[in-house]
Amino acid sequence: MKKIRTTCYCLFMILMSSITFAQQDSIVEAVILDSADIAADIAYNTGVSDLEQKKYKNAVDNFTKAITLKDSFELAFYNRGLAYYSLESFQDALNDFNKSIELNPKAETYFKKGETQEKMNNLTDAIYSYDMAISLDGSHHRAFYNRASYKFSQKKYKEAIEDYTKAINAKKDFSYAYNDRGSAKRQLEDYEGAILDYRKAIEFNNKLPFIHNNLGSALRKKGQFREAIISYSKAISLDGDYYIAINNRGSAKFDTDDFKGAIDDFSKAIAVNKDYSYAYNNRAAAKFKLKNYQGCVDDCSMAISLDANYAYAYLNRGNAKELLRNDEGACQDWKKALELGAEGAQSHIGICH
Amino acid sequence: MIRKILIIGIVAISNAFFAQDVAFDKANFKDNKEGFKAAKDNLKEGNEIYESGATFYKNAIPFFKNANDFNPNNSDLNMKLGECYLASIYKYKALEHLEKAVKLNPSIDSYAYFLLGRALHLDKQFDKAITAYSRYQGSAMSNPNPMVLQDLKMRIQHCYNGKEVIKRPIRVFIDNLGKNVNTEYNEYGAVISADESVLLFTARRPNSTGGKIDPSLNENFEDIYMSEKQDDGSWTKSINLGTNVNTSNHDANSGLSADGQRFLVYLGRKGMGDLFECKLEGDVWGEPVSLGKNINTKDFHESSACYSPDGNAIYFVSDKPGGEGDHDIYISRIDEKGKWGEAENLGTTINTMYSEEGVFMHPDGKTLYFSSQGHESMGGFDIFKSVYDADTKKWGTPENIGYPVNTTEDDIFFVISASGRHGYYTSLSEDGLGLRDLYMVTFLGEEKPMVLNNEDNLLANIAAPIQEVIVAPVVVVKEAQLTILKGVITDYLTKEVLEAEIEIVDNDANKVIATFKSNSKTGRYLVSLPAGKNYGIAVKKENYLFHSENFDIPNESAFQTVEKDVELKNLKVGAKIVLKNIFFDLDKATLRPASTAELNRLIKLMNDVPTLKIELGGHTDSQGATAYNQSLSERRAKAVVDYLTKAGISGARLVSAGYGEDEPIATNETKAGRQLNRRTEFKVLAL
Repeated sequence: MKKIRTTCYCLFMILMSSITFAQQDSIVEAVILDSADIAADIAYNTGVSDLEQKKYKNAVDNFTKAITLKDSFELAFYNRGLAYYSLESFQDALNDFNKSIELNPKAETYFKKGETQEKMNNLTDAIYSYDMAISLDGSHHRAFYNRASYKFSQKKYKEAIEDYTKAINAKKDFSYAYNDRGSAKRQLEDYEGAILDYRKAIEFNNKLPFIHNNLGSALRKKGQFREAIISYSKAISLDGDYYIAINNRGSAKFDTDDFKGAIDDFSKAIAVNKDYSYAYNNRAAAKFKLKNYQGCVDDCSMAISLDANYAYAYLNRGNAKELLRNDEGACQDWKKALELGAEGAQSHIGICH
Repeated sequence: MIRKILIIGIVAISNAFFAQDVAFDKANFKDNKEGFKAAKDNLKEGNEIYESGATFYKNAIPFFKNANDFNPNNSDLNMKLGECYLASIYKYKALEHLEKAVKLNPSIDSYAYFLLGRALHLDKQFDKAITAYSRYQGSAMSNPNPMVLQDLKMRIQHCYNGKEVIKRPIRVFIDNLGKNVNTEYNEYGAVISADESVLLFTARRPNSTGGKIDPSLNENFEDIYMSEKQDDGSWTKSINLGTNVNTSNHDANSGLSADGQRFLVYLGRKGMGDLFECKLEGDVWGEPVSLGKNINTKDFHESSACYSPDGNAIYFVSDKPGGEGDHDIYISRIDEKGKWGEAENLGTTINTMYSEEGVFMHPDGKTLYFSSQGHESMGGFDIFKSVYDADTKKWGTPENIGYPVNTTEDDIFFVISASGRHGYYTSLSEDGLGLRDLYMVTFLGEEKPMVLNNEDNLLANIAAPIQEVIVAPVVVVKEAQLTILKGVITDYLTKEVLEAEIEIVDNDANKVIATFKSNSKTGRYLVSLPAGKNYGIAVKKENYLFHSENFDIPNESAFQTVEKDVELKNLKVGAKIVLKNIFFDLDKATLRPASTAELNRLIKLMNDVPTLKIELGGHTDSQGATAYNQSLSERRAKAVVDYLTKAGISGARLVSAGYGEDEPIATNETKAGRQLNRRTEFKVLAL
């Protein structure tokens, strides 16, 4: 704000000077030009203030004024691009970032352009933009991070890990990058590496429930069920409504043959999100283990009512029906599971004629 | 320490007090003279029956029990009561009495420890049983009897086996076959048809043919009964097979052919027994015919048998000399004269130094089920299976089919359905309908894994979670890759049922695998086809055109039942049939070798009916250009005619015709329809 005030003062002094020399024709033109610049700058500054206050439409108006007064106003294009981005007018934002880059290519502008292109599902171009940002600034940690995320989404986990590592090198306490690198390692079944990364992420920010949840899931993959339960519990203590972690803790309890404890957790997940089909399916599995086959059928049916294409709920329900001596019903469910692509269903239907 | 010694002392004294062996002596029961007298009478009566031998032990139980109620602390009586219970259907009641007998008198006759070992063994207390058997074994060593010592060695080994087998129980449902099959008497030895529609079994009922009592068991003689499965899965009221099959001696069923048209029967003869075959003629079973001297022996015991699925071999059990142990399993194959050939012992992989019994070959033709006292039995006979490897020509190591089907008792006469889903066997159970009953076991296989679903917020900057699915390992049905083909054969015009010959051909090997006949009364037939072959099936009857079917069943096919009724057409001018086992190379008129059997059948028909003149017609589907299809059909028809001509059939009797796509017999819109349309037909032009 102090900077804006100083700029305004300078502009005011220039304006006063132009009035002083107004009678000299040769100078008048220059003064008029100067005054447009000044007005552009004032409008721009007002726009910056709007942007800071998240008054995006006002910001767009003021940056537009500034650009009208000064068509080579690179900063105004960049900032208007940010405002458009926040208003989700991505094409307008993209146009502005392009103009800004044309006037003065900068790493940050390329980065924002890349984010805009991602929003527009123009992923190839987005990656090119991140590449450009990185070529202009080799320590642009967010460009590395976003490029890594894209590679993750493309299941190019090794390449993603490389970019996450560069992001971490550029920003040592980048807990998100540690979390995501851990997730990439997990997808490569490097659970040990994932656990180390999740723990590092927690070291820099232990208030993010999803990282504790992810750590729990990596521990579960390693067969460290009790440690997994502790991590899930930490996630739940940070967010009592984190039904994903509650469901996961139930599964970890299931893994330790604590089927009653698992049922408690699945029921809690359902209490938080009554439409959470996974928790119904999982509770069905725990009931099955306790030989409550009818209860299993009921929960699977609930899961199916929430998601008619829930292949594994059909598969599980078939298993329970078989033990309820309902071979016909079991076969119907297994066949449906197979039709929906459930792995393992084919081996079940051997008894179905 | 002193306190500890004191406690031990008190316990020892009280044990001694409560464990006092009380003799049946008047002096011990001064306060109840009448009760004593009654108990003594019961004891006397029980002892008299007991002395008659083991067959009558069960009859002594009520008397011994009355005496024992009066004086429960007599070691000798407890031992006898325990022994009698072991000989009855109430075997599980033996343990408490035998434990008490040795507790009351630890220096009791060592035979009590043998009996205790049996009762503990029965109760699956394997370690204690080993201790008890070993104690008896120790005393038996002082006067060694090789038979006794071998028996003990076997029982101890069964206990060790039991400890292992019981650790890996299999998942099954076990169902009593119900009141229409089981009665208060003994029912056992079930056999079933491949499709589980017909059940034959042996029973000892009061109305057995001849009405005799078997003195060795104090029970009725055996007869054979039959029951049929109803639509709701229950069984019809069992019927005695009648005097054609059942005689006044022992008549026990053994093996049923896959099509249910023949079965093997055991006929007891003065302690020995032989194997016979009965054939179903219409709805009447014919008289038993001996399987001949290559199977039956004069002085030995041929006790049970089964057919191979193609009916060309019999697996049977005999205790004739030259085997590996007591009863062994042998195979006899049908020779070129249609007689049962020389028997061959299945070898040491299957047969042990102990007894094997109750043989059954699965319809897949390679999995043999049998019972054995050897191998990894956990007590008495256990059921095992072994798979024959046709490449190495060796039997696989027999595998105990598992607890709770196998128990510490005899588990025997096990048969399994073609699907592998159901087994049928005999058991003595407290919740049965009387003595031994027939049960159906439903195999559930490995526990089907329950699938949990979880998700995580893997990426920090993505709010939407990424789904994760955890999937458990696959229960391969390793087996049961069979196709059951069944139906009824009738006359095309009159719809009368026909007894026709059914020939099964391996098209690729150009080899007749088996021939069967449909039932003369019902026209019904049933064949089981293991996966992995391209089958040609020809249904033939004199004065009829043969009917052909093709079943190409890949290895990976699951179990299936196909119902196919066949209508045979009379041999008359204008009659047409589709030759379903004629195969051409793709888009060519080159006959594939797999067509040989069908073509040879056609040649035979032409030779059998020298006046027959036929047209061979080629047909295509509507895919491709019409002109091309026309040409292809013509060339294919001609290829068949050329084949027949080369085989010596006069060209004057053969006409080839190409119909292209002009005469479809099914829609060309579906793959199945197009397949039906691509065909070779022959039509009778003159007779």
